[in-house]
Amino acid sequence: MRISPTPQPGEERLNRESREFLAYLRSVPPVPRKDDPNDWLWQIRDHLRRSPAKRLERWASFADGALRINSHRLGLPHVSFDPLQVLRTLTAQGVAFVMVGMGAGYLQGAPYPSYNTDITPRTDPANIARIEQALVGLHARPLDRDEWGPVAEPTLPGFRRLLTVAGMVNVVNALPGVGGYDQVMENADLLDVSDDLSVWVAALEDVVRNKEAMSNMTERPRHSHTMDSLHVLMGKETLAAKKKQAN
Amino acid sequence: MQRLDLIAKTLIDHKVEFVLLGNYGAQIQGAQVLTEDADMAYHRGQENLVRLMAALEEMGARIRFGDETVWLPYSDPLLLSSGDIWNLRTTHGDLDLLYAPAGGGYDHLIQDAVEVEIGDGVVVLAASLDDIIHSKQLANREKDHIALPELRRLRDEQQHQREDPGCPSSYNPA
Repeated sequence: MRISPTPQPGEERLNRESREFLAYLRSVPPVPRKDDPNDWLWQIRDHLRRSPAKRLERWASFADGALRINSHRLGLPHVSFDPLQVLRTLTAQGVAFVMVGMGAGYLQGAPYPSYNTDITPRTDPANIARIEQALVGLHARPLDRDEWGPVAEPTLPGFRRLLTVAGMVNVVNALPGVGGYDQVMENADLLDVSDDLSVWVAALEDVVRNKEAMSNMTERPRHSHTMDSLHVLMGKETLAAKKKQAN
Repeated sequence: MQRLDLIAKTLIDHKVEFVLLGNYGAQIQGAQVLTEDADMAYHRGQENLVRLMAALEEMGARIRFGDETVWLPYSDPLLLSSGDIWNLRTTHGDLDLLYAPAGGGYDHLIQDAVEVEIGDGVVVLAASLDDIIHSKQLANREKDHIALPELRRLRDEQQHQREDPGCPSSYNPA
């Protein structure tokens, strides 16, 4: 918000309601710049006040809108983004998994989500069988292209990029910088993502650790580096805001 | 509901003269950047302010004031000429109206703005990537510095495609 601190010539032409409104705005002390070094702080504070279920709702609509534009720009059919459907399907099949990536970061309070649902499953044979069953239910198939063009062979072992009826899903058996399911679960939180569903979600610290490791991987494309770096910065600022809030 | 494209569509429905800029303006051109609000520069002619205020009323716009929102009086569109920046929250998401953004306002941005179709036949004007890059250089924040390589990459890719239309869209000079 930026209005002149004093009434300006011409304002007398405004109607009474508007003049009173400007007087009200001028009466409110401005937020000191030192509290808002890069304009993210308000968004972070705002987002931290939402419940995980509200965050998930917001994530779905926000990402779906952005993906809709991307699909249109690329002439690709739009696939609705519905992380709740993914989580419900996995849970219904009894899959042991933990949410990771920036979706997990978003559910933990970071203000910008990614446009896919990332999960790390337990990798014992019985669980792998259950996850395969769940993926069949989601009509999963390997993602053959994204907005950057054809998707190359995965560069990480145990990493699958899939397109499902509920949007893109990444299955990541081991997170660079963190580890596999057991390591991620050490710090994970069980969050209520809807009235009737709770899922394990990686701690924001681990999301940041993972993104830091990813941003240092030379084989990642340049656009991925940009996102990794932004996510690290945003995640760290969110952690700092949470710490400040706790104190 | 967080749908920035619906903000743009509502403005188009009301025939508002505006240019999208910032990260959303870049995102609809294909940039991989983070954004949760739409920034737009608007023409400050009286008729446009009337159309803009009608669109804001339809979207239930309120002033974002720190963590809270306060009402925006819709009764006098000229009010919108009394501030340089209006941070708003609408039913479709957050919208920042900028009269004089760093690097130049509507009259400057419109000169090199590009048409972008955002779906359902709706075409919006977005500031050129050169102008967005320039504004981020002026803003000089850490998050802007991180985003600049991606914006330059996209600008170079678009330039390459203009010069060689047969080149794949995934062209990556890296």
